[in-house]
Amino acid sequence: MSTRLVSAGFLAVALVVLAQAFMIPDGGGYQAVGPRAFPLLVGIGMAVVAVIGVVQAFRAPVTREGGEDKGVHWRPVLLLIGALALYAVLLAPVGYWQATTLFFVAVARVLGSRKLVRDLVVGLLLALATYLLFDRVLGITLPPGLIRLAI
Amino acid sequence: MSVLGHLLDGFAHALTLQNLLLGLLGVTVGTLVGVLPGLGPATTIALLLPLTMVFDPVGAFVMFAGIYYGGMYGGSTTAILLNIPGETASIPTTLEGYPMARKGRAGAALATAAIGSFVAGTISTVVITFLAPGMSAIAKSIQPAEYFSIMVLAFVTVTSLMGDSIVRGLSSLFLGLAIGMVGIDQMTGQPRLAFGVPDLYEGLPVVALAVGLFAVAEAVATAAQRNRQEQPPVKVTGRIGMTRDDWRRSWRPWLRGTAFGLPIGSLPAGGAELPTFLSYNVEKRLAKDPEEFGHGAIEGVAGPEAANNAAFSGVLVPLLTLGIPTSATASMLLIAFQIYNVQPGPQLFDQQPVLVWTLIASLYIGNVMLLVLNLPLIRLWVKLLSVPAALLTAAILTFATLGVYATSQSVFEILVAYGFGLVGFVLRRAGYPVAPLILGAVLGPLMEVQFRRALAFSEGDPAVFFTRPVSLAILVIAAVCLIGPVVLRRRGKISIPAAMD
Repeated sequence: MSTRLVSAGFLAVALVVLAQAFMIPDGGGYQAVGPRAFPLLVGIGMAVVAVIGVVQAFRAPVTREGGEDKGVHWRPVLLLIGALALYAVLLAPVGYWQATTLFFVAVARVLGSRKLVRDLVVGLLLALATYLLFDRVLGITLPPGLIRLAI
Repeated sequence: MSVLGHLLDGFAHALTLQNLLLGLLGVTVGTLVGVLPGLGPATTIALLLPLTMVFDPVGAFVMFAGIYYGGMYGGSTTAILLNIPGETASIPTTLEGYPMARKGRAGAALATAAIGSFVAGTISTVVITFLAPGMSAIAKSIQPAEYFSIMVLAFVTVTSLMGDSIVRGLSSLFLGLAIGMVGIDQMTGQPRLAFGVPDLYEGLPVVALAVGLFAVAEAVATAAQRNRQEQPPVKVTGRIGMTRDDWRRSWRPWLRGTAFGLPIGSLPAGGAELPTFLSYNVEKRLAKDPEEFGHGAIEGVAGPEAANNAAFSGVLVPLLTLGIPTSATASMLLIAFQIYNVQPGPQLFDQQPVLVWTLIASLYIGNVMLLVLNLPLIRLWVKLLSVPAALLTAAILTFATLGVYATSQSVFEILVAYGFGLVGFVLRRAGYPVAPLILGAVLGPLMEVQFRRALAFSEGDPAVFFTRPVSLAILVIAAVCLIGPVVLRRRGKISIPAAMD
């Protein structure tokens, strides 16, 4: 991930913040300071810092790549993002402990584990334990899903 | 009631069976999560925050005191045995602790860290017991303009002390401030930066933000370096404890470390990084044999660990009396207070005496519990280090998701947490510190309140921040703190290690 790209991203966000701040109607009324002043201040500050950041990043030689480790392995990162998105979507319809077990196994596999049975057992135990603790003991309702537990 | 009366009252609440058990649970879980590699105290609190929400406020804060200290203690274990600092303030510990462990002196390093933390934590807690109520009285007289300036100072010092680039630190800070503004303006009902998304009208949820930036980002980082060779943890051989010689060499660094950490931590500026590095350098300079530094000098573990712990306790002074967090961990505590609708600040000691004093009493108890529990249990904690990274990461993500969902029952907030996990990962890769971001997001809204109050008093004249002498003085100090390091770095006088948070 290059510092250049991220510094440019900051500048883009700063411009969005600034543009949004300008669009806030400042219906002063009897208030000395409306809802626009502080966002404007922050937007301007962010833009100034972001411009300096971009200049610095593009002046510096392209040596800075993380620290001890070089490139990013994008494949596991993308797979992980996929697993996270699926988990968030499936949590409620499938049920907490069911979705969590699957998610646990999937993440472990993405991260290089090849012991499917072990991951399944650990994941299931963890999911059931947290489900019972939160749902039954602490009283925080979690989605039960299709298969209901007898306890 | 006098300070002692209040304190005894606090102990009376903290020493009930239920609260003792909660404290014990906090210390244990805090250590357990803190020991895991890459999880510093802030991440530990972010992950465990939801667990406390089912208890009444007093019970929850007793547990929090335990998690706070436990997470920090667990972090030093990882620093010594794995050479992984969970946060910037642990870097000095890795410099000496890891070489000690490799020489078979892990037991002594862990012991001097634990006992040093206990000594520093206890001294600091005694001092803040008496300092905080006084500070609270002073804080009541602070006017909005000065309040705003103090917050500017806190932002500037925290940002310029963390990481190797002030520009990148400030970028993170401003991003945090912008994130803090998302949602409906409390005073006028005007939606800001919400882009018409109804889910954003209540603002970006800070719990999801913190869980994402710390816990999820850590998991993504682990995935990104999947094929990296794992460093095997150093085995703990021999006795956990110190020889006569270790004691002789440790006690002065403990006290000196406390003397650095407590005052600097207590200022509404600072945080824990400066005192730990200061302590390390001073110990190195005072050592009879400076050559030993870098190869496992026990003073280099004893001093910084004590400084770190003292600063952690000191940080509670600006947090409780001014409502200003000066570290990522303190921001997490502020979030915890806000979940219970408790706003730390000048009024806290008057409005929530039971809560505050029970929390302070719990700090004493937590310190003792840690010492009693952890030295004997250290071998058990060390076993956690051999859990495969794949399972660990899966578990972290599971708990992160559970935490966010349990507090909100909202899939949207889970997605916010995941999104900021990616943001946090990208920022860290590009060398941007994350701590100023969370600080800005949490403190920003409070800062705006003071900003608008000050301008309301001055009838809209922005010169108010510069014409009031105290406010001007604070802003001048802030400017010096901002520009000073830049000048010094240009001349190559100082170098601060890269941000690790």
